[in-house]
Amino acid sequence: MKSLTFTSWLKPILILFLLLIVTMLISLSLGSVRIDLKEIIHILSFQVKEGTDATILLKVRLPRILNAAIVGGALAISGAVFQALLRNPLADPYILGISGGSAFGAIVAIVLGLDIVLGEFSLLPIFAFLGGAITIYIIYSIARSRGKVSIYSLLLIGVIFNAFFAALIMFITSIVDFNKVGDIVFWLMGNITSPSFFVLGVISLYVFIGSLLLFFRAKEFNLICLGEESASQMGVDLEKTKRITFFAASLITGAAVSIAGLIGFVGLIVPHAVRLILGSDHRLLIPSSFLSGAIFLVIADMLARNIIAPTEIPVGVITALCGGPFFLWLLKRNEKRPFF
Amino acid sequence: MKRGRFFNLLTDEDIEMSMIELMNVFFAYDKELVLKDLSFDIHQGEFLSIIGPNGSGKTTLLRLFSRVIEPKMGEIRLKGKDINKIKRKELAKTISVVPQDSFINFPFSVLDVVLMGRYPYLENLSFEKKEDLEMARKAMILTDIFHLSQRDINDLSGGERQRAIIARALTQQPEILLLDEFTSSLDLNHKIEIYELIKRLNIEKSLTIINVSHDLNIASEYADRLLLLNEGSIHSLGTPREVLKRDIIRDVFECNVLIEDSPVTGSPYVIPLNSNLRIEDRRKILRIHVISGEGRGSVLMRRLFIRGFEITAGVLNIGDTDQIVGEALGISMVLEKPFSAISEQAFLQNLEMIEKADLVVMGKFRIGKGNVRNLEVVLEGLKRGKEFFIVDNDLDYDFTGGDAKRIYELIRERGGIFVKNHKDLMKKIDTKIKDMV
Repeated sequence: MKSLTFTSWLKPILILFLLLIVTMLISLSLGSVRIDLKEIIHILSFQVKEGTDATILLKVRLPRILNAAIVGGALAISGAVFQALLRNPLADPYILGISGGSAFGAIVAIVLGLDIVLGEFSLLPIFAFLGGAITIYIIYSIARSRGKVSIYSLLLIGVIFNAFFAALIMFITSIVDFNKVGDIVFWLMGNITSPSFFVLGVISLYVFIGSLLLFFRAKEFNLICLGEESASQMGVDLEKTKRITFFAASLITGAAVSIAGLIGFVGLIVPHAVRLILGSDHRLLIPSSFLSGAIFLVIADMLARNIIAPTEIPVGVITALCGGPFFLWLLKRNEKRPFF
Repeated sequence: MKRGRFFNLLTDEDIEMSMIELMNVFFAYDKELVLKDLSFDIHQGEFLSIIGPNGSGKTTLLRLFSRVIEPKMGEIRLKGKDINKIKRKELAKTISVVPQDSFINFPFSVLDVVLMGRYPYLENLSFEKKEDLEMARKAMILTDIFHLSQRDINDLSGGERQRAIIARALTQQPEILLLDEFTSSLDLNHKIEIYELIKRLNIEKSLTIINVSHDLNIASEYADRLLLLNEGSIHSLGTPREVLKRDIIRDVFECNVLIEDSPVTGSPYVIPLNSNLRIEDRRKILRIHVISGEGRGSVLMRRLFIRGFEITAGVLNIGDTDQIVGEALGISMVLEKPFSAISEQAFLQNLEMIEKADLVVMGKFRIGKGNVRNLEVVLEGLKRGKEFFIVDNDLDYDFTGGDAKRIYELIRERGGIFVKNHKDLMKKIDTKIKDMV
């Protein structure tokens, strides 16, 4: 009988971790200027501090790649968790209106000209994060009746909020100064940029805390897959789990959206791919999804930078181009099973 | 707390322990009162089946036991403790639940699912230990799914999946197993198989079983006691024999049934009589008097009864199969003492019933000196203008030395309508009804 043990848990995680390091190194070396591995290691270990290569690597590529890794991991982890909590394989981190709320927040910042850089810090991420967090709080309050949160109400209200925000965004785009339309569209498509290490640090902290909170609920997510009522009958404190999950998942999704805009499909396809290979046990699924999501987005960003260089494609385009067909394949494959 | 009634005769171990006690429990969804003032005990080691029509509150009651919902008023005690004050994980160590059906949207192996039952016993994030695996293995062997342990739970058949869920429930090491119509999606052989398994656990492990069932006969066969709910209140609580009574079922389910002892198990067996009409309505259609004997009329009586007619019969000897069936069907009959000739009094009573009937039907049976008056009464009836349908008597029937044959001839002459067999008879009756309408 095979069941999850510490060794069978650690092995795939170590492999994925090594894979992530390798992917990041490859990505670091590729670009308009090629930097070979030896030099990368020299620069990263601070043996070389000066020169164009060091500047490109430390100021541009490394923050960008770390950004991609954190955003990819964050989106994948919240995708995995939302799919379990909503018992819906088609759920992704944006489904509960987070995308709409964050996008609206970000666009308000752009329109009001608040996306200026104050010292090292732009206000745009804060607006995006607040937009997402406030939205999920409102949706959660509406869906909550008599101390219980109905998943179906949540899903429906989320869809409606997303549609509502989409209309608001279109409205703003249509009346706003033409110069700002480009910024808005670029942000909506999803983009990996090179933020400062300070921003990266703050975002990483959010993502780390959120992921840890979710990881510690892994067993509860397993049980919730059998149905909410069953989980509660097996000893899960359902309301507490839901509260923690919504808090933690909005925290990390909001953090990711605030620095990368709307990058679709990562949260949807990565957890499914991991499930296909490693099974659905969330003790393994949650950390593996983080690592796989990071790998996926680092590769997607690498392609976005290099496919038709020097022109950059928004990374959201790459993920959607990979994700769309995968999504359809998943739908086809699951035809025989009840989805909702 | 309820104690054994014969406490002076029993040792401590024999005293019935209350597992669950309900004290004036009320429950409502919004303003709609679903359960009203329920008070009863469930004993340690008993098999209790909750029955009742749709919407009578069966599943709600089960959800109260697993604390998915809480009573609006009153108290539920588990082993003497208020159930609302018990921590969820502690509760899961005492009570486990097998739901109607479990669809799982993600790929989990059977073993993964079975091991989930260990959740209340394990620390956060820890891995299952050897003894947890051993527990899961035993449960899977018991439910006969061990060979499937590595399969994806979604690739299993309904019966296999439900057995996996039972194994999961058992790894919780519960003292009480709650089952909510858990066999409703299974075919007959799996249903019986799983009930046998549950009964075995009930007897061997002294597991307290509480199940909600739509199948009265399965409930009757396996349960120690039945709890019949109607409109949120307890209608009756007792052994299957005490609860499964014709009038009780008619009251609660608005359905006409026969109750007989199952030839296999000896438990009461409920046979629904399929009729679209409610009893009150069908009585109005046609009243038919049946003349028969020797147990040959029982089939006829039952068929006519199922068709929804009001039936009377006579004269029947007490102890005759016809009389026993008639009794079970609850029809009124003219009776004569066992093995006795039909008396003048019975003859007249029979004639009286014939006069009240819209139609008289006579089956075939053998005729001797004792029952020849059942033939003579037909002549009397014809004289009074009654309509008679008579099944051709193709038996070697005459044990009266020729009298019976003569009377049959007279009946034919005087307008008795003869039919070949029961099928013909039913056709004739159907045309008669059409004419009436």
